[in-house]
Amino acid sequence: MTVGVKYCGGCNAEYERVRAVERIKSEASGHTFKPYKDGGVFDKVIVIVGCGKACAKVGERHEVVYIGSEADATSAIAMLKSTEG
Amino acid sequence: MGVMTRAQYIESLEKLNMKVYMFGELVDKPTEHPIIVPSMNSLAMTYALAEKAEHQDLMLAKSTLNGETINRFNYLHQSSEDLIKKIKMQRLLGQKTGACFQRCVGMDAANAMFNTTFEMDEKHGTDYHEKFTKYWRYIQQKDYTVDGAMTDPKGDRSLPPTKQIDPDMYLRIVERRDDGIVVRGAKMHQTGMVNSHEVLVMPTIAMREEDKDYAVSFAVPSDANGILMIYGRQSCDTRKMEDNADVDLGNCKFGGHEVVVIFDDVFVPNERIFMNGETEFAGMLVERFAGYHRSSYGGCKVGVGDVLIGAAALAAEYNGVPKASHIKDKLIEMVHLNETLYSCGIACSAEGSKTKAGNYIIDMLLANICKQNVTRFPYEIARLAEDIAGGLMVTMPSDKDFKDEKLGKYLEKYLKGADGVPVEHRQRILRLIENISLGTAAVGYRTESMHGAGSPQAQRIMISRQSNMDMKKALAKNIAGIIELTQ
Repeated sequence: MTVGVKYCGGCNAEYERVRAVERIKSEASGHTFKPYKDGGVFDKVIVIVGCGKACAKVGERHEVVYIGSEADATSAIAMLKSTEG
Repeated sequence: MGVMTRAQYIESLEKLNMKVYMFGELVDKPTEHPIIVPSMNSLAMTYALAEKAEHQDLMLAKSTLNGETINRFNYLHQSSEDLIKKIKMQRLLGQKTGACFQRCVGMDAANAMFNTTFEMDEKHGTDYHEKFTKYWRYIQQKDYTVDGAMTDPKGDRSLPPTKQIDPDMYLRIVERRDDGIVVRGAKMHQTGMVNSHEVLVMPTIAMREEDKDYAVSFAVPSDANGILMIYGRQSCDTRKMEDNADVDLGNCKFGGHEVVVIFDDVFVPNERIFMNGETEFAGMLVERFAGYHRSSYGGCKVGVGDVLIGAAALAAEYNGVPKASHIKDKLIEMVHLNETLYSCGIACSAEGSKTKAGNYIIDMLLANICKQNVTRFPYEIARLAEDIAGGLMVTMPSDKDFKDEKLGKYLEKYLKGADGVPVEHRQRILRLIENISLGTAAVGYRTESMHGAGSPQAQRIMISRQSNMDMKKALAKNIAGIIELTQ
């Protein structure tokens, strides 16, 4: 799958967002990760939000997975690995 | 270009031929001067964060002028959501630098200029809006930093510009030519001017009909002929000149600066003049710029507050008292005050509205409430930080003593705090608290909080004007059952 990665701005991050993404990329390496862009084509988009406000927005047509903690990152890894070909 | 990298930004500054004076001497290379470099690093952070995917949601925006992706600091806000993102971006920058990052003034000036010129043209049939839009498209495309210059020296504050003994106490037009104007005067407290490519000048007060030569707005490069800058001193500034300066600075990477800018008969071409004698719009421009800028303080100072609160919490840990109830309560109070400021910044943005020109403006009453609180709360937050830190933050010997062969062992022994905490960590965090509360960064965190974007009384005047007291009185009469007979 092609997975878009979208970060919130990070003004109130409650965990290390970049580290969480690096972990997802490394542990679900069977997928292709690309920076999210409006209008881009992705099978899934993971939105990395620093806090519960989850203010980052992506286009409505995408299948979105929100990551708001290290635990969410672990769940996302499991989900992505289960869909690896 | 649209978005410059940090390296490109610094390279672009190096190409400027600015006349910067410090300690009575012309600074040879401002981008390499140890007193100036920390402030350049702070401003450069506005470029560096724009390069990072994890911050681009706040740092970048799509220009409505050229369709390109640009730095949000050069953006014309198109919604309340944009205004909120501006506040969040400013908080982020304060968190990353622990200092004033200087780029807000130009952003706030541009947004005020964009909508004020529109309304000037609507009334006078002038073409200022078109000229300003063309100019700002250029700024966005180059990703330049623009210094917004408002505050005149003002001389005798009881007298208007034309009644001053020295007519140059407010910046003015001294010559009108076919191809432009020549201006003379000075602008005080210019934050970040040495790190800026351009300067956007505005009048400092509402003007009367006789003040036509003072109702002037324009933009010129910061190294234009006739411009010179005299660098402002900061408490503890020469610590940066010491050999291997690091620990004793508290914040060795970042800082801010202000300069006195002299305009010694500077020529401004017609295409860069955005107000030329329209006295009735000087007040509107001042109020709108001030409004935008007063809201900005609900972001930037909060970010620096985050750093100071974190430093105070660490000082408590290093002193071995993180669980003391009064310490916990003081930290809670600091967070409460800091988040109250943030609430004000968010509130005046959420209540923003569309101007005739199309860009969004903050709620003016709430922006002034925001800044009024900023004139007070950082002082209390700094007081609580000093309380938690203890007296050592101002009595601690120099780092050179800690590293001295003879003295170091004594300092390592007697300045030890909680077990497992290196003495140097204690040194560093206490110096950081010193830096923000009474060192170089206190210029930005304390006195700028008091006077920047207008002194407290300026906000109280605006609060009075915006308070809608007649409605409040009518509400009271209604509840109290007061019925007045009309004749």
